[in-house]
Amino acid sequence: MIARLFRLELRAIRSDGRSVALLVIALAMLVLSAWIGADARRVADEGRAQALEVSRAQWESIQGLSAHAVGHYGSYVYKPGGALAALDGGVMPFTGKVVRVEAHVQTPPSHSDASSWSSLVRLGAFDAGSILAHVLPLLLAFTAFSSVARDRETGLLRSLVAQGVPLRDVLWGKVLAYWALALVLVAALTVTHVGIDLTSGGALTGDTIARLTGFAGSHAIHLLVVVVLSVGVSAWVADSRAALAILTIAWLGATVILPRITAQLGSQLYPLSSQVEFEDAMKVDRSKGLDGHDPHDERRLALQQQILDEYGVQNARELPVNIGGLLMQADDEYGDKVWDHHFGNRHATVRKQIGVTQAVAFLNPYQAVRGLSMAFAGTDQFHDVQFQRQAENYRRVMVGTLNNLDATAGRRENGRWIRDEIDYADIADFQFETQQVGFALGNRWPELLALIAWAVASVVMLNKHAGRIPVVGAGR
Amino acid sequence: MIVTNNVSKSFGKTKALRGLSLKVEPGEVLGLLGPNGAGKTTTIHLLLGFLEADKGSVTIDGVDVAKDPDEARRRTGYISENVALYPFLTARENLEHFASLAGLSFSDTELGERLEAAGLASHAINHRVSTFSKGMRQKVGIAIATSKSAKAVVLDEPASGLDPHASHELSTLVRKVADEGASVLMATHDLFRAKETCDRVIILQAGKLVRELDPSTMTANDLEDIYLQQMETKS
Repeated sequence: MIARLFRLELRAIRSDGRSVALLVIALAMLVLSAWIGADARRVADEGRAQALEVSRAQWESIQGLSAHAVGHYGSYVYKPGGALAALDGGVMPFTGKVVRVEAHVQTPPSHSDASSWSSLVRLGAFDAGSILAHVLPLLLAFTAFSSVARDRETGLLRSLVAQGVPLRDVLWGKVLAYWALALVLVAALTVTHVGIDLTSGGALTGDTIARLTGFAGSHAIHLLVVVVLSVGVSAWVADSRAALAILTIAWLGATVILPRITAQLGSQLYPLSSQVEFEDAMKVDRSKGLDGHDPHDERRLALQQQILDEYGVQNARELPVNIGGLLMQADDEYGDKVWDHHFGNRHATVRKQIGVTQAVAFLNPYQAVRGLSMAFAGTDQFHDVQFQRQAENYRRVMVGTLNNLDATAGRRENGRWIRDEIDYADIADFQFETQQVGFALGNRWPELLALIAWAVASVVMLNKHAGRIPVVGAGR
Repeated sequence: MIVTNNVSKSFGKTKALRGLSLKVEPGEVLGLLGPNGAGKTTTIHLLLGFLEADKGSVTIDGVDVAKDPDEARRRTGYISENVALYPFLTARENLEHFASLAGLSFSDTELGERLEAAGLASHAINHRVSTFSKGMRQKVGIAIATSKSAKAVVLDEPASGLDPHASHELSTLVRKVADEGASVLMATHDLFRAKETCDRVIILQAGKLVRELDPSTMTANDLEDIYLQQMETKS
């Protein structure tokens, strides 16, 4: 019976020009966003490859510089775009994509996309994730708001129910029809994305498929919740205009107001220092020691004495190594501790702020799907932190290698340290280790749980109360 | 059999039905007369389980409507004043769809025969109902209601929008349904049609049963006089 009602509802939607127009608009937006996203990714990849080529050529052309000087000369690390970044930009447009790596200092990522955006672009991202989570629910509400209310107003609901059709079946026929349309849109987007990716030389890895499945699946669950709520409101509210008003207000609250309140609440509860404050605190701790202990000069003197004692000499000019390289490595290692301390605190605060959003996701399925969408696309805060950590690890290895070369690549002649000529091309480029889908799930399980809870609760509520919806309008 | 036992229903402060008790035996057509707002449609909505009674009980063929509304509806045929159909389906497709929802299956020929029996012209059977007049839609509704071979048939102003010929055909059809053993309750303003079709008529006023008549013992004019006198008495 539900299958028959489902087919009829699909025909009813097809015969409604307004609904067809809205769904065609949604389809066009999704396909266009996939194409725009893929093109933007191609441009970004090309730009990154060119920049990498230039900086590598510069690196390999270094001649005659000491390892210490090369440490200051530094290099650049470029954030790669995730396989699904074209589908959901997440926070990536607002985070830096280039990190300058050099000795003695940790530089924050710079050159975010948003920094070069015009004011118009800042109005909103046009990516598939936003359209699926933000725009499509509104379009579905615009098509489904009258699904039951209209049938009640025309008397069709009475005709159906009078045949002995359970009200629950009537509602499920409608829910499944609208959800099927939403799934067609999600599938169309997925196929378009895969098609563009494959034809432009991309490869579908197991992880990409898993992420794509997670991305499409989480949007599909969210859209089920949206459809159940839309049909439910249409069923319970007296007339279709009131249903539309309620759904529009709910959409506004879920997608605009509540996320902003949540962000504000998160930053009020767990304030995050500014980048300037963060860097100043690092500088202070590096020179004065963490928490005022072990200041820089004392550390340096103690280490110097320790090295001299180790080699059993009286002064640095008698050492078989360049003490400057050893001291710098020790200083860098201390700086690493300072960075770990401050970056760890900063990340812990960001994590707490995200925790607020994850808690609110149990009240707002939109916030649940937004977190999941960008996590599966590999563009959320957690993936960005991974990039920053890997960039910092690369910096440490690079600087450690240079400090070691500075300390050991040379010889002592008449008390003077004579440096060897060094080929710096042996130091490899940064290689980003892509996070697997389990990383996304590991960080975003609260949102997944919230979304599933919403889906189960909305389905149970619809089933439980379907039999009590008004079949006839108010009055006699 | 259709039975209501001391049924009351209010909408806010308005009492739509006040302790209505009635019984329609198998094979009987009961006419429900009364002015607008008398409680006729409320009675029908209660019989179909579209509304819940505040007090009293309603049974259709022994099934308590409040306890098992779906089963009660499966045993009931229903024609409303404005039959609502899927506008993008033809008359045949509508009948096929609604019949299948009731668990019935008919061949194309049978569908056509049932629509024609309800008075729909054969050339209209394969036309979309969005092009139909109210009377034509009403005939499709009659075909849907009668195709269920229901134990009870409930009609709410069924002749509304029908031309005199179609209205007469409807009366014949309703009688036929009753003669086949169904209990039929028909709410109407049309006293002549009530006299022609019903075995018994009751007059509702302000939610109360105020008069019960046997139309076979009087002319249509007598029925009209009694009805109007009753309205004047109570107003």
